[in-house]
Amino acid sequence: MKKKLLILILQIIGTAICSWLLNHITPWWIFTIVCFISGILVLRNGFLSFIGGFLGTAIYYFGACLHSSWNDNFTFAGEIAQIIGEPLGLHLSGFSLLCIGTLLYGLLGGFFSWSATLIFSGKSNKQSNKSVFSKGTDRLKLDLK
Amino acid sequence: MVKRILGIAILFISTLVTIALSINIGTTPPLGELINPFQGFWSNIDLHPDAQKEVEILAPNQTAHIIYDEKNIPHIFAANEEDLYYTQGYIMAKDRLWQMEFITYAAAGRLTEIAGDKALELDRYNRRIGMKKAAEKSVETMRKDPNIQKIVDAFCAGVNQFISEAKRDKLPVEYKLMGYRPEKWTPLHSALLLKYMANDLTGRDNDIEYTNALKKFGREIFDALYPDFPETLDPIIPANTPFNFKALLAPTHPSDNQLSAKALYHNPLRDFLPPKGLGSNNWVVSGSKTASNMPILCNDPHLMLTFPSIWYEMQLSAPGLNVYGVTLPGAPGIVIGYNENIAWGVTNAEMDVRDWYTVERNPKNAKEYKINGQWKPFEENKEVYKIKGKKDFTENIKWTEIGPVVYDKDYDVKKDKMDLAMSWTALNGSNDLKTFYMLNHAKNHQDYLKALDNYWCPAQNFVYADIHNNIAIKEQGRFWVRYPEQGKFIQNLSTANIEQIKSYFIPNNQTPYSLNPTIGFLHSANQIPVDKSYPYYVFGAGYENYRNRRINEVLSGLQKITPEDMKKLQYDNVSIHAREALPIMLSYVAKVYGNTEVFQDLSKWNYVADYNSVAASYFYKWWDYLEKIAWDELASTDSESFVYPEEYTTVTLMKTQPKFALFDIQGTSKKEELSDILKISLDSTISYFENHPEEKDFSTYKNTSITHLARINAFSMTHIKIGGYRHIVNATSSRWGSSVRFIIDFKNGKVQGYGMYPGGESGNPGSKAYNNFVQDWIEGNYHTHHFYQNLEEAKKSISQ
Repeated sequence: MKKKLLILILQIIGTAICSWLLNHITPWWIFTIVCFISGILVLRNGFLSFIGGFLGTAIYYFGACLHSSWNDNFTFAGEIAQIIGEPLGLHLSGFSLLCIGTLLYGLLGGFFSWSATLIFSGKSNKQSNKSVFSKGTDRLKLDLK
Repeated sequence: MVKRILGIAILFISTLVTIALSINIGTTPPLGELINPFQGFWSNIDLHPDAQKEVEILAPNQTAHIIYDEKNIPHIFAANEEDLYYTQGYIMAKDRLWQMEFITYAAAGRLTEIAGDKALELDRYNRRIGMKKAAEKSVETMRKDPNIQKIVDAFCAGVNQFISEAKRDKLPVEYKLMGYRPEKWTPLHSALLLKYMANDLTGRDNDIEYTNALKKFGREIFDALYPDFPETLDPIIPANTPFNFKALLAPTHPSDNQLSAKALYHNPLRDFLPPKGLGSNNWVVSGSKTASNMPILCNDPHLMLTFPSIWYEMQLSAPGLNVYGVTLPGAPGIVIGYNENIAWGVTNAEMDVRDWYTVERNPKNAKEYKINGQWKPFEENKEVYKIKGKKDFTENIKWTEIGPVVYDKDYDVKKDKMDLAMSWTALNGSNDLKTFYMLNHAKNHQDYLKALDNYWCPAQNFVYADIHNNIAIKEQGRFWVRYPEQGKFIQNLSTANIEQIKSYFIPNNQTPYSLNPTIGFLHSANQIPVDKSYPYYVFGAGYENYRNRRINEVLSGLQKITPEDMKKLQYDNVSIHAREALPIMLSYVAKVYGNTEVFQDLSKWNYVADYNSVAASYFYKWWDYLEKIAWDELASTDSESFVYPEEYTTVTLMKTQPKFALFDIQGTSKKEELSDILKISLDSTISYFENHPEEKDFSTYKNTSITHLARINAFSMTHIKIGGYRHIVNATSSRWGSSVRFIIDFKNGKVQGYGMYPGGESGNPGSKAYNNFVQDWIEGNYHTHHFYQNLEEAKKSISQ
């Protein structure tokens, strides 16, 4: 159980840091690749993979945006929220835009990570367990039984 | 296997969502990128704009130094002019790239490419009046001048250097919101920007409306409504100034009479014309009237109040040049400002430089038109409008020898009347940038005059002062030598004098001009430039006749003038319009309405339109109702366009002809007179404020706003608490007003500038420098300019 948690935390931190670093020099969707790769590396059940991708991305996104907007009191984000919300008849605040962005990015990250786990976990079980983490995944399955 | 299929399905859907968030869908920008923390709008938050620091830029030849003062104003010091203009282009792009480019998109009729089909009609208008072709001709002319070509090329290189360096995170947020990227900046872009200003300042003419009015009401009423000279004359060139030159002969009036045509014309362009009331103030007082015995020059151009601000303030310094002032983002050099020897400012001349001609097509060959009695083929330009998210729109625009056929059956099918071609002095290739380049370098009065020789359009009143205690003003532009009333009505192209249209202009040394007048000051506020003794026919649609008289009144009464006096005058809220109209209006309604609150407040009013004045709200609402009722015959319809007379003409008619025929309300059995329409309009005013009590506050009533160029509400400001209104020196209306204020004092033979503008140096809405001057602009807190003599002085200044 501890190991499972440790792997999850590692995935979250790894995803957040890699996405944060790579996003400075690569397109906005780089975190989806990061999450997909993390989903392959950290093979275990789909739900945990999703959680790992979701939280890793959400932390990177929320943290980076919060850092940009903290001293600005979300004034500028509020203006952008107004622009985005107006055509939809919504009165969004800057902080709610941050939450929406976090959710959107997080969901995408989670789904990419989950899809990788689903696609590659079966293959991994049939082949020799090359991945350190995949052994853990097998054990996890047994534990669940 | 099932898991894998599920995984592939999730991957597929997630990828689709990611792609959808990466592309423009219709006019919606790529949302994934927009909200990205490092490339989206979050990266545009700038809490620490450049201030009190030095930046170095590797210019083509040597490193250029930029010192930002505490107001974020850049002071550029370069080793030569090529490096100077390169750096100017670079830092202007850094602060205002989106604005620069957006205006050129508008001028070139390409807004549909970024804003979609909602911009199509505006684009068609701009293409139909020939903006791009005019800009191309100007580029050709600039190319023939090595000095100008050099500075324009250097400027463009600087802009492009910034564009090439700017990663997604550094791009202005508007690019992200609209989902496009900047294109390469060329001399054509700078030329388009100048044509945009030309259209803004000379685009409002009334040929169609005047033609309609003359046909509908006859000569007597027409002359009463639209006189060439106002009753109280206060020209720019002091009255009775002798004009000691031999004027060119006016052309002969063509024998045909276009006015005999039966059709009335609808003006389809009316919706796109710049708003009435745009104008400016400038004045200069000589040392004989100032406390310092040296001149003081003042200027405040009234333009649309926009974010980013229409002006960009800066100092440019290189060997042989040291100049401070404001410029239009996208144009090299300084447009309004001063150097160590001279100062200059501009107001719009208002002289009519755009004429309309009916086009007769060859009944045997529709591709030919008649000009000067001969059939000639149209030049046809195929215009393709790329519309974001939709199919392209294509149309052919025909060109005649004098200009484009702006209005034809293809353009306005519902209101089909007749083809109208337009002649406009801005369509000729001009080298207006050279004027500003030479003014930037000018050392004396002769240099000033030589600089103005290059200036064509939009015609301006260039006010001048120098360290030798000279003051001057000159109205400069290309003005046709006209026969009386030419340009006032639609003309006939088939009998037009092509040589006159192309090249018969008032010579530069005969345009209105005054140097060191005995009265000790010169002023212009878009009023008529000369009195009746000027030997050329002068005509402009919409000359001002209130602001100028107020400036004259104040300056005449002042002695020992200081910059503080000038600041007060720039913020003067006295309405001469109200002072002249209101007593007449009240006298007719006193018996019936004397006890009403509105009447009482108006009776006590001192005619000062401060932001919290209640009487000002009452007066202007009453006036607006009065005009609507009095000029109900002049309401434009889908088939015919008209224009109201100027306010001062209405006041004159109220004074002299209370039973003026048009005061009668259409459709009533009674024959109304002035007293009737004043009562009806006052009734409406009282009702209006009963229903809208919050608008008794003048700032709420007029709602002065500074609007983002792309009309993005979140980046705009509304309900600004500032006084003034149309025809008031502090001409702050709802959407236009003083776009920059300048006071330049030559005390002790040195130049000291003061000023501010409603905006900030940065065009980035996420920057603290986006609107940090606005409060000072509202309150009249002038910034003292730092006009450094050299780099060392500038460096020392920021290190203190």
